[in-house]
Amino acid sequence: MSGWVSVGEWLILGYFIILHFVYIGLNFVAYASITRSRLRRFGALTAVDPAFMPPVTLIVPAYNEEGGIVASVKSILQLTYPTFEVVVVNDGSTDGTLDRLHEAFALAEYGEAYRDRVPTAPVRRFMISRTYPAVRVVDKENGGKADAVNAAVNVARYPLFCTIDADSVLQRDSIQRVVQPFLDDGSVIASGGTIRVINESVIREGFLEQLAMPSKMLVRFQVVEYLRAFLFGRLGWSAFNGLLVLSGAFGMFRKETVIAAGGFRTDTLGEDMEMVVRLHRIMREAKRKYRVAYIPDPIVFTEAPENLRTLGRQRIRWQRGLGESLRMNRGLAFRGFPGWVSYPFNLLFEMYGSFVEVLGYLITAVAFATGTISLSAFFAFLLVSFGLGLAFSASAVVLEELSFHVYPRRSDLLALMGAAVLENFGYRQANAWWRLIGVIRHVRGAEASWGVMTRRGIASSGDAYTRSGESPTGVHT
Amino acid sequence: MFDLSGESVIVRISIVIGLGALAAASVFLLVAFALRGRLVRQTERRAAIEAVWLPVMLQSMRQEFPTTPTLRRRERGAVLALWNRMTAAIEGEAVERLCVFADRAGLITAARALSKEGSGEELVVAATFLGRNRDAAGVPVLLDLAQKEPIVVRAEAARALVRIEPEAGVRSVVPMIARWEDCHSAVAVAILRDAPSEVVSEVVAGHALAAQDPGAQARLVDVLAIIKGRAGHAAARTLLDRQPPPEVASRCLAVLREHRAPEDAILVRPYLKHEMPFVRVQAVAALARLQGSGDVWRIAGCLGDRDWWVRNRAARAVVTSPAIARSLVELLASVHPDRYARGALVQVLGEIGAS
Repeated sequence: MSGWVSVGEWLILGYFIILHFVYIGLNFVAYASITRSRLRRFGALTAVDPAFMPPVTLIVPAYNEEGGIVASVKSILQLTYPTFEVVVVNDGSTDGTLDRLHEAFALAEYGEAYRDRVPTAPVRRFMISRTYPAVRVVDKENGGKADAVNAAVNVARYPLFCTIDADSVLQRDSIQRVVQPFLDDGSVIASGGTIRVINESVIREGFLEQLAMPSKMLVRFQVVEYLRAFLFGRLGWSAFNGLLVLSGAFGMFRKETVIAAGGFRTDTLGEDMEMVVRLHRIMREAKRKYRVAYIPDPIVFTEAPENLRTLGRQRIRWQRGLGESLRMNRGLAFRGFPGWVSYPFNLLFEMYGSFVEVLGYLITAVAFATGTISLSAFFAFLLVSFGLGLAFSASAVVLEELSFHVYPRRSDLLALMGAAVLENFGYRQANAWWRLIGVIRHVRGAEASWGVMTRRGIASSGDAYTRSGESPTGVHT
Repeated sequence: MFDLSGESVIVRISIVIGLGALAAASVFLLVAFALRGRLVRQTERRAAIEAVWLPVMLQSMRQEFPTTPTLRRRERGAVLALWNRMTAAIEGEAVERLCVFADRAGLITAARALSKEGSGEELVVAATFLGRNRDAAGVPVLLDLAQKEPIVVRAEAARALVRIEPEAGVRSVVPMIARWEDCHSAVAVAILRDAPSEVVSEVVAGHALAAQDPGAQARLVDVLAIIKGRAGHAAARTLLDRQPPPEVASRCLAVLREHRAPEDAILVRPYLKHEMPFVRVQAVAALARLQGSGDVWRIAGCLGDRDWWVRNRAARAVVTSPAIARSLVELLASVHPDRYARGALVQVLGEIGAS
């Protein structure tokens, strides 16, 4: 028994050492990237001449969103960007989504020369707004979010497109920021930015007026988690072009590349993550120069779950989405940096690492209970787990202070630090458990279902699409 | 608390790692607090600097020439940034007075010093200052800065050179821009904006014609499409005659589109049959702008193009052309033998009708 425990201990310790070795590396890279991006924002010349900003198509897939769709499209129309169009896809809504759009935007039917470049569920009709010519509506039969986005990609006029969830809150200059990497580097095929938690914040006319530190501890834990995932996880990976996840709530893609890749898959829970992994695979297979870019700027704000039930469902879904994306793109393995490092890391640590984590907790607890390990050994393992978790959370708080410090009050900083300490007692373990359930369901191939997101701040009906891509998958520690 | 003498190696390693991580976490948390403290102090210091320097700068704009405060070393960046903000917000004589003030207050010396030893942000501030102050003595410093990384610093230094001596600046900056692969055309235009467009057009056109690398050539022609000038127009015509690479050809067509000279139609027409669809799209768009009387039918010939975008642009040109009556276009949309052409016309008629 003790021999097995010892082997298990070494394996778990080895796992933690490798995992955190990678995290330390990502951390260093993130510090350098944050410093560079600060200088970039500082330069007045980065305000690019509008004549050169590429026009973009903003895609709003809508299913039973009658409560918030009009407000959402109107706030999108207020974004500051020289040329953009909005394509709303009514994905066979059974409520009054289309009626609300008709009333608000004076829609007129027209005959689109439709190109079925990515196959979708049948499209019923195309409409254009008489009052806002930049707004078009595609009315189609229900096929899911990915199918709705594909239909919009088929009618998109512009070379770049971006999907926007009806309940996401953007900054007025969000498009400008996320388009910048395409201007800096012609080989960029996709770019994304940081998502922040918006619970209890003040939103006026679809835009954030004042960001508040959420009062609920569960939400604060997620604030710290998002900081960790975005500010050093994604930033670190993107420096090596190894980023496998972009935010589905606001990710910009090069249209022709996505079409060449076959569009978004409709048989996965994480269609946006799958798309990014697939783009990596296809570009690597074709040996083409490309880049998936990430900017640390906060560009999208989203509401985080406020109860354990919703949070658990969300995390299980994210984990399954991750599993599907990796399984569907096995061909990426051992191709370039993403194939040699990001893919194996995501597979071994982000995906199946939850086994090791949960097993680690169990072995340690059982071994201690049966007297196989001493009290000091028991505390030693807890110390490693707690210490490393806290160190990386604290490091993310430092990155936040170095860059954006979006929470202005000193008390907010204290609250963040408090959450960084307390999340180690229960929250991280629960997260590991949900991820494990997600892995088990993925392996068993349980049928995909979106579930229902209980929201309170941003209007949305119960069966509207829930988001998948804002997953902070990447640095869960 | 625990006796570790009898513990296994793994337990000892775990304790060392755990304690190390806890120590690192403590350091991080302290650093976060220190950074927040620094931010608060910086904000306070900036406010204090503004409280002293802003009234003095405002007085100097009214030609009152007050006693200048002593410029402390650590205040240089903030004072120069304040001066840059002031000069960006005003025009005319007041700027000249602020330049006189800058000299009296020692800001020019401070900027030159900062441009040698400052941080990235301070280098940008110093370059902006030297440019706005139009200090010819600052040219060597700026030429040095224009060799530095990253692009933000180089670009600001280049713009300052153009501001100080527009003609000479353009002549020294354009070759740099042609070399800088990370200098997007948008940044190039921003750098050159302050010089007379004819000078920019002439110098950029010269380099565009001489460029060997299609990437550099395309970047320079991009600039010509925004900063309009006779030389740029002529260069685009010459390049099109030479049958350049597709990325250059499409940009040259964009230049001709902007100039709207009917005699260019003869150069544009052959490109309606170019093998690359993005060149054909530009050719249709350019020809539609040039409005030659017979060209609308040539454009209508592109309604059956194999590329959706060419058909769409051609349909848009045909529908909006004053040379064809709407009733004729509607007839065409119903009887055109090519179904893709009909589709393109129906779509554009619907879109334009709705708006």
